[in-house]
Amino acid sequence: MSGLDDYPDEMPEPRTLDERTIEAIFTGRTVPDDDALLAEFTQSIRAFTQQPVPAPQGDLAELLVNGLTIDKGDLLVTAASNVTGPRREVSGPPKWRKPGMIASGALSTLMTKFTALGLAAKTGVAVAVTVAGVTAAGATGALPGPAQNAIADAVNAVTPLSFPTQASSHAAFGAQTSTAAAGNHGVNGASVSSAAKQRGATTTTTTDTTTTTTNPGPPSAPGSQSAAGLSRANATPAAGHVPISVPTPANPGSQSGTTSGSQSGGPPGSQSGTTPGSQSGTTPGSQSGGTPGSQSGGTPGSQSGGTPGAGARP
Amino acid sequence: MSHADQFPSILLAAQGGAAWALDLLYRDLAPAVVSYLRLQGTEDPEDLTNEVFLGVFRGLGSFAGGEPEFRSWVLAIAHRRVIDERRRQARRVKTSPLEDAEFLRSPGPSVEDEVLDGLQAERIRALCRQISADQRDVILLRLVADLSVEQTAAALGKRPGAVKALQRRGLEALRRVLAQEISVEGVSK
Repeated sequence: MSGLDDYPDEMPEPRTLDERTIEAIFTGRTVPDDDALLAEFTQSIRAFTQQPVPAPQGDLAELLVNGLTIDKGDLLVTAASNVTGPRREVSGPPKWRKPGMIASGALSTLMTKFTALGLAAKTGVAVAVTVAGVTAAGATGALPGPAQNAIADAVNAVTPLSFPTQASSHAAFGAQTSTAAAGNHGVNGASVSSAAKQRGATTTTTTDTTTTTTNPGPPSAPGSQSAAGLSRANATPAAGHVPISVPTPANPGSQSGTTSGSQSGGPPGSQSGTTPGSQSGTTPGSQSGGTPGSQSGGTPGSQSGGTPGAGARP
Repeated sequence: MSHADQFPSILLAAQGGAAWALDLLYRDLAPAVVSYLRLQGTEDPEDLTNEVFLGVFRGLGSFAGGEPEFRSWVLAIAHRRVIDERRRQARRVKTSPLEDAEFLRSPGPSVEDEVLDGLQAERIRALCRQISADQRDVILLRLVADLSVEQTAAALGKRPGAVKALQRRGLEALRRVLAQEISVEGVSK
């Protein structure tokens, strides 16, 4: 049906809705009778909204029960612009390859950074690495003797640290011997002798002002050894100080303990740690009052039995 | 909204993740949203309502405003879902009548209510299909979601003057359709 087929009197053109009627329809107020049908329909639409609350499902149901976990980075509340993609573990390399790859990656990174440095920076890095290495070796006492002494002196003077020196190692040995000699049972000559051998003592100096021996040799009887010691002492520049006779010890063990103990009872560090060279026997006279600990440890012959050197003391 | 005076504190709690506040917002607006989606003829209004509120709560931290603005914002999100579904429906061939599936899924306390709701929804949808989509959007938002002209304009991204023109033309078209329906029923009787 078109407007051309209508009789104007039978099918009047409906009037235009004014603003007031429209607002009355949308707000549910009373409308003119002409628009009652329309108002009824819109009322049915409004009534249709009186629906029960739909049951939430899935993620929404969990959300309404537990709330948002914002501090845990819940994906539900993560803005789309902040989503950067899957976690690294998802697309990462196999776990068994990771440690090696991490180490090689770190090494290559360091090398890349090092090669990118200037000449001065490279020199500085090399010096720093060298100093660190020497310091570490010095701290463990692994350097050669003079170098160890130099490093230890420098570090001990500048820092509160205490690096070991070559003398301190000898002092420790002397202290060990002195401690043993201070006991009631005297020095265990056999153990000290074997320890001295292990330390490589080939040339030793015997006690006090009298006797110097250059070759300890095998242990012999105390009497014959004393005579040999006297004759050898007379052949040295200190011959004027050699006693005429050597008293025969009644009990070598007790004499050893007495003499060694009295000699070694002094300050071990000062005696045996003074100069390593004092053990070499270059100047017997100067050694006579020197380092009992080191001397007793450096004289296997005198320590092993009745200690001819010790027994030769005036 | 029945908690209009307490809306600021409720919104603040919801933005802080409080479950009770989220539940309150959902219960307040879900009926309007699901009704709007159902009368717009979407395939699964309940599932779409879930998606709408997940989107609402996802962007809750960025929202600022009062209760009317919040209502308009939620319905705007629902309307965008409707637009998306219209585009999807336009790209595919229908294999079954949408009304049948919707009728079976209509919620209600009893089968009779479901049938009545289904019939009522079908009648409303049938009448609303006689007017243009723009006019239908405006009328449903104003009636179902109880939005003002300004809120409707904000939800649809239109100017208030355009919304007024659309609602007037839509109501006049509905009035003509209703008049024709009455005349057809009179002739058939």
